[in-house]
Amino acid sequence: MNETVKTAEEKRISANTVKSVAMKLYPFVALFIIVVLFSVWSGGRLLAARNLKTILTEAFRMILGASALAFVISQGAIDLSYGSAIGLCAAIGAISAKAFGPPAVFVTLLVGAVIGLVNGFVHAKLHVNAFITTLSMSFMLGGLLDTILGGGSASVPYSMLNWDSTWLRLITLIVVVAIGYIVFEYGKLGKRCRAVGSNETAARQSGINIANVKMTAYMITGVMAGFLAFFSLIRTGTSTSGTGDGFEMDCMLSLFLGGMPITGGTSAKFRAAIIGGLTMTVLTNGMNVVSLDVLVQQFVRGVIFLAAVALTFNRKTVAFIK
Amino acid sequence: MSDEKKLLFQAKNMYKSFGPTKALVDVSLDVYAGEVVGLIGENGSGKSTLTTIIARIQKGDQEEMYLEGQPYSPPDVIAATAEGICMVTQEQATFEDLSVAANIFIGEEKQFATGPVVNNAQMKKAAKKALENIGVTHINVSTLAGKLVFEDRKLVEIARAVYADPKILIIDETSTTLGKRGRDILYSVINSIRDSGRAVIFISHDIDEIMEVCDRISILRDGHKVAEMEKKDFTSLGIKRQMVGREIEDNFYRNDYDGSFSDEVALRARNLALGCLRDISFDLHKGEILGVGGLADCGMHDLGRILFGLDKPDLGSVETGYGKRIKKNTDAIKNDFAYISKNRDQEALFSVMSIRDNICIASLNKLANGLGLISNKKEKDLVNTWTNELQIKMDNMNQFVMYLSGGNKQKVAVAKWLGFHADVFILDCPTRGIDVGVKAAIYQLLSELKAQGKAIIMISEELPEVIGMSDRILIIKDGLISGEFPRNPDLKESDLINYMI
Ligand SMILES: Nc1ncnc2c1ncn2[C@@H]1O[C@H](COP(=O)(O)OP(=O)(O)OP(=O)(O)O)[C@@H](O)[C@H]1O
Ligand SMILES: [Mg+2]
Repeated sequence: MNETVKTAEEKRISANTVKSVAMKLYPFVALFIIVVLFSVWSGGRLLAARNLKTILTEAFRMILGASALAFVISQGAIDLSYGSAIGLCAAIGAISAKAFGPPAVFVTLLVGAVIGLVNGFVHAKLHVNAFITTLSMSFMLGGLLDTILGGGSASVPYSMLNWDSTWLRLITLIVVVAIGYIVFEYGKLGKRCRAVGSNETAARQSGINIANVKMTAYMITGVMAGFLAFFSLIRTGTSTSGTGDGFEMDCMLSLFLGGMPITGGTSAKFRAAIIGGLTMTVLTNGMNVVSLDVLVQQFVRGVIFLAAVALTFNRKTVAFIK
Repeated sequence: MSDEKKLLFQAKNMYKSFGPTKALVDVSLDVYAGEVVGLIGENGSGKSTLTTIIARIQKGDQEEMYLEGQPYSPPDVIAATAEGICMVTQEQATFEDLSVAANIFIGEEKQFATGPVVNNAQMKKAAKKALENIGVTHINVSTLAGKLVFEDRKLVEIARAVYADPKILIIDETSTTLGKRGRDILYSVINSIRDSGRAVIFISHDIDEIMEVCDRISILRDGHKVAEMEKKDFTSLGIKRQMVGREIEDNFYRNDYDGSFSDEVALRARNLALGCLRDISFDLHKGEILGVGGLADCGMHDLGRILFGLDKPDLGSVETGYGKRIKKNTDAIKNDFAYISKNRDQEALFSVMSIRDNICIASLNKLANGLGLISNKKEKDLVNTWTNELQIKMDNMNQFVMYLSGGNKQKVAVAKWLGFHADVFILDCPTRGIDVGVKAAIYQLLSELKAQGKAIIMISEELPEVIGMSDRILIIKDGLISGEFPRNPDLKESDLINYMI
């Protein structure tokens, strides 16, 4: 009698362990598969020295973008204005760079911060749902961007392109990711973001300033948008209406590929931004290297998006996704 | 009598484990027609596990059950209901976004449907009847369940279970969510089921209530059945001894009748009005335990929320002793206030978060270093201190709170604020669902907090607890303070009840 009980129980335990280990490993497995797949498919061109530099440039953008967005997504919120914020920051940055050169970075950061502040204010203080708030914001920013650029583009002084260097990117990436990791995993802010994502009512009753936590997270994505806009300017030299386009989706996809649940909460881990950012970079770059049709690329992204969301989302604790 | 008793339900060889926790080991339970069987034991002893398996909310690792002599093993709750076993669970089980009527007939809408359209009027009428069936007339069946006070939500669940006309009704740790009126309704439901030759399985941590209500009890300890007792053998001491496996004192409240406290005010409430609260003013002093009692819908639970800055009163103000206004939850926490909601699973706790994070979340500011970072060691020390102090039964501190037994969840909510070292404790039913042993420990702790000069408001439906622990008692009726009583050994429950209704 007791025997059968034990074995049934052992089965259950081992099944559970397998499942939780699989959940932890899946982001690594996804990265591995995508690297191997595109290495083979591209006949080794993926990992060639020249392409690696491109990958680094892309990974810089993706990992930093996802790192900042992690603070928003872990609360169960969303920022759909991320890409258009980069677009607007870049346009205003380019124009001001003509006037005062590299210090234009402060302008892009400021513009980003203001966008974040408005998003945060509308969502947290006026209690407009995050989806509506940031979607409307992205429309407004898009409109502003077109008005400023007048359908054309704005370029920065040629000398500013000298600022761009692989080393600068690498060091910035490492420093910012390290700070982000520590703040997210061990800081009050990170813990509060996850608490809000787990149960907002309980967070309020634990004395957490919900509005502050929400506003801070949007400020982080806003400032990051300004930061990335500046790096985009010194790399490409111009700002166009396409700058930042679709960035919010790529960052979200990064996080989900990295194992972050779409509902946020306690199982949100910062490593999702790093691993997922890398996976997303290799995926995007790989599809370009093998010259996949752009429409097919979009389709692949959509499929992966759905698969990643479905995988990371904990069915035990939530009935369905909002 | 025992010879003519008819065996209605039988469970044998019941086993259930959760990871390393053996929640049930070879447990058996017999239920005879026309009786109320009590199921008692410490927090985490397996009561809810056993009854939820019987009600088919979950399945045992091994199980053997018979209902009226026939093998009983329905696949799910709906099938169990159809066979005649219903359960009112310890956790809240109404959907707040649905109307009372929709909650009562959830999953049963078909009976009111013509094609795809549900006849709402008909459903409402039936819902009204279901409520009247158990003697409830004050609940409007069109309101959303989320708008009801806690007690009424539980009454809706009881009406739902009773309407299915079960042969066996299981009631898991429900009385502590009910006030006096709710309990009277519950007892009359239990009596009518017993008198009609059916049966009730009744779970409670209130030994007096168990002795009053039950004809027979089964006692669980650490997943094992350790004893059965007939009504004639019931003694409070004997039951407790079997539950905890050692001798424990009968009187666990404070035994001093000093009732003195400092003149220094810790919290000042002035002319508070919100909802049914009309005009509430009082001072809470350092070193004072202030009991607040009343009927469930007298507004006393809202009072707790206002005091912690969660709800903004229409009129009046809450201040600290130094005259700082409490307008928001952040004001409250800055002034070292603590609050435990009565709604444990949705509000007081993060169910899907670890025990560790639940305990630390309120204390982040105190744990953090100058950079706003928190070391693992500090967190673990805090958690270890309080999980040991309150004897929280868990596998490890990284376990989600949702997997704890009801009483152990409550302990986590208490641990969170003890670890925070609050100065003012606003406690709404703090010992809800906690077993006698740990209750004694919590009362002991409250006495120590009082001695340290902390101020405590205890809002509670349990009059013995209010009388036993408070230096001063306020009774709220119709949104006003209807009576104030200093600590007094001669104070009786009936004295207070007179001021409640
Ligand atoms: N889903 C679960 N996952 C893991 N452990 C569980 C789960 N459900 C119950 N347990 C554990 O099983 C044991 C028995 O729990 P149960 O809920 O039956 O206790 P209980 O007697 O109802 O206690 P209480 O008086 O506190 O309600 C506890 O140690 C609990 O932590
Ligand atoms: Mg229980």
